[in-house]
Amino acid sequence: MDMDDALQTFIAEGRELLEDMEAALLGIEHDPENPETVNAIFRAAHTIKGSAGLFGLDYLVSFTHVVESVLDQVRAGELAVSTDLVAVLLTSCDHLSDLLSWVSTGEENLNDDMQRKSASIEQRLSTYLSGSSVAADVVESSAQEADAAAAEENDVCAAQDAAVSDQDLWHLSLRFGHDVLRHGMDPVSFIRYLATLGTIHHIETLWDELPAADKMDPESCYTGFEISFISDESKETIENVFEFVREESSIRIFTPDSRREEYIRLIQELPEEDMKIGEILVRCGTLTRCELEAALSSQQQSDESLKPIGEYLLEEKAVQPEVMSAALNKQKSVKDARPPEASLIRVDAEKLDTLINLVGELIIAGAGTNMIAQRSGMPDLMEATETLSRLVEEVRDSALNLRMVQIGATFNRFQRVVRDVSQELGKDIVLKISGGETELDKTVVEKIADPLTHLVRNAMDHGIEAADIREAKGKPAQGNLKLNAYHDAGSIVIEVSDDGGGLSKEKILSKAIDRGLISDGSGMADKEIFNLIFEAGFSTADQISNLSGRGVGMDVVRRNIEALRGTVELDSEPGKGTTVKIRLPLTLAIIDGFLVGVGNSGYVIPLDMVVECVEYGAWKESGSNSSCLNLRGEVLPYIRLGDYFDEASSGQRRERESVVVVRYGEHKVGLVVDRLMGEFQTVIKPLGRMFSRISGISGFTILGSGEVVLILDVPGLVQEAESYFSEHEKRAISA
Amino acid sequence: MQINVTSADDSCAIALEGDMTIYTAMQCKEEMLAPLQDCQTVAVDLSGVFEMDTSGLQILALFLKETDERNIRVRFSAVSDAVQEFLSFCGLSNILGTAEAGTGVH
Repeated sequence: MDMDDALQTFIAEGRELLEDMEAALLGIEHDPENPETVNAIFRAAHTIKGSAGLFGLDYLVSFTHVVESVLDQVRAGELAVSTDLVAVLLTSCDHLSDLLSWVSTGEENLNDDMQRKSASIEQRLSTYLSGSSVAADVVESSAQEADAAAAEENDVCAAQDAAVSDQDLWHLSLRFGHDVLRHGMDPVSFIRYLATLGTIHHIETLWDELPAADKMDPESCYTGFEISFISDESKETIENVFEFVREESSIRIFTPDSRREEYIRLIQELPEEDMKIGEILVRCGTLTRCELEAALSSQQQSDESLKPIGEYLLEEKAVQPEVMSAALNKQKSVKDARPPEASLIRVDAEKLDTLINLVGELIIAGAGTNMIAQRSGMPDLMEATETLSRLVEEVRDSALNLRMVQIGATFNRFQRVVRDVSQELGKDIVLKISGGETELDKTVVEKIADPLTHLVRNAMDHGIEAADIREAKGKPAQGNLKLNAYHDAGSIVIEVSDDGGGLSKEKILSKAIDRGLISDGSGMADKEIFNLIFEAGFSTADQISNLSGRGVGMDVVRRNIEALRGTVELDSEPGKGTTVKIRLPLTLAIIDGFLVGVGNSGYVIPLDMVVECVEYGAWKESGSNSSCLNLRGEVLPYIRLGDYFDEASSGQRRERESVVVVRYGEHKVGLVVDRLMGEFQTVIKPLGRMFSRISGISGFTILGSGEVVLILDVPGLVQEAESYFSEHEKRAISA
Repeated sequence: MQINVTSADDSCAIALEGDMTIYTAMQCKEEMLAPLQDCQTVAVDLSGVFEMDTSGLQILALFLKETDERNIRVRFSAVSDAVQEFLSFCGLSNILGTAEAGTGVH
């Protein structure tokens, strides 16, 4: 493999690990007792260190080493989790991310700035280590002594060793998960299969976990085995025997050349008593009695004189000179412990884009073929193209699906933001996330993070009041911030809501008049007033804080969202809170379109937004001349597309005119067209810059015939129809 | 699975006929432990057991553990070849015998 590729993978994986680590760190504050969380954090640091070592990234190794040491103490229960500690670890997390960025620059050494930062964080971390670096040195030297002593004992044992086991023994330590029987697997049958790969030298069945009769569930597995085994098979083959139970069980396999230290660790890690396991290992012929005694006594020594950091160093020293295979095994076990999403494939985003472009072309070409088939009138050909277009449709959907990612990961990132900001502001705020499984286009996800951050910060800074004010108002002292996402009519809606003080209408109005945004506020709906805060140069905060309040926030948010063909609106209730709703299109490239004819041209309406089609004739006869139609008792503003786009009449009489009812958000509007031409797949092509200011049109597409048609910008049209309608209404009232 | 229990005074005999597997584990546990309430010696006949798996083995282990704790004397009157083979595969060929010897010491 190309080294650069491997390095890129390392950086990408490292970032993922850091994300996990950050999430776990945030979780641990609420649940410090959970050993799984601590383990997850430790594993992340450990894996980064290990991989960095492979690439010779010394600065990364040494920094991670310190982090890992602190985590190891937390894991051993020597160090309590405190807010301060989490803060330092989070800073370390950030710094690790910076270091990873540095790795991608390809520079061999850190610059002074980064070095200083590393050193200062290491300093902060080391205050948590029991004893300072001096103590660590002492420990190291005593560890060396212990090592030397162990080496001597080794010599003594070696002679006996040779006598006892001249054949090479594997050792397998198996503790099956409680549910394996329930999953239809019988542990003994695995061992029977194992026996076909070699000879079982000695086997011990253990029931130490077997509970008392009343607690014992006959369908749970409580059985464990210690097996010594003679075989010429590879480690992988032997491991694969337990493939199906590996996830839920603890399967330890030691190669014949395993070192004594590994067995010592085994003895320590197994739930049964040390002495008992030691005896079993001797009976299995895995260890000689001499080795066992040496091992247990050296362990006792280390228990007394060396505190966990010493154990840690011992472990480190034991690992360093290990043969390649053992190192690989270790790597593997760390990998196995990672959550299952590791089975994902990493694909270059460009390759995906190419695929989607090709699918786009395929759709256009398919539409062409379809049309020719229709024209030829050959039933066989029509049937074939029908099948083809169905397949193309499926290919399109799955290709687009490749780009879809869940928004949950983005949401979770805000846990950190909320934590940091609430500490900075001295407010107690919790973030609640829902709808994290809602999927949307990867590009959209990336671009939405910034505006969301703005909104979240804004809500925390201006929305949610300080604890004492909240209590005075009779609300719980802890503020709530909610992030929610869901699909609605071909778009995705993201909501940011808080239970703070809400927006003050009067303040917004006076400010808006001050800034000359409006002349007076009479006749404005609440919603319109609230949405004024998205205008450029608007800020209602009495005080400018360093978080927000400089009046550059909300209009930037709106611009970013509009650049994604989305919209943003705000709703607020005084004293109860504020909700900001962002509405975004699901994808940016291909949509199902509904083709309509106006005059001599075709127009495409995104099918997701079409609610229904109604014949226009009925209203025409009633001679209504207002700006809206009566749709089953509902007021429906409408636009005549022919008039709107100034299309010359096709000469046909307009008696077959139809109304296409479209919906965007809460608004429904009717579009009057000459012909309905059915649905078809549309590849959205962006308009050139020259046309970017034309309203009502969002892009164009090419039909099978090669004809170019325009795609309607439904949100724009809806807005236009609404404003035209309300103006008309006002005039009607004033008249 | 057929479990026949015959008891007289403070001793009883349990005869198992069928498979001691995951499918019968629940039944085995209940019916094998129930007679232990009020007896001092138990004779177990495993000659009718033709298949055993890990769950069956666990029931046997539980049975031995319980009898040991309650100071009940256990004797295995007959053991089928299948069970004997299974036990020796697991390195337990002498648990049936040692159980009897073990209870004698108590």
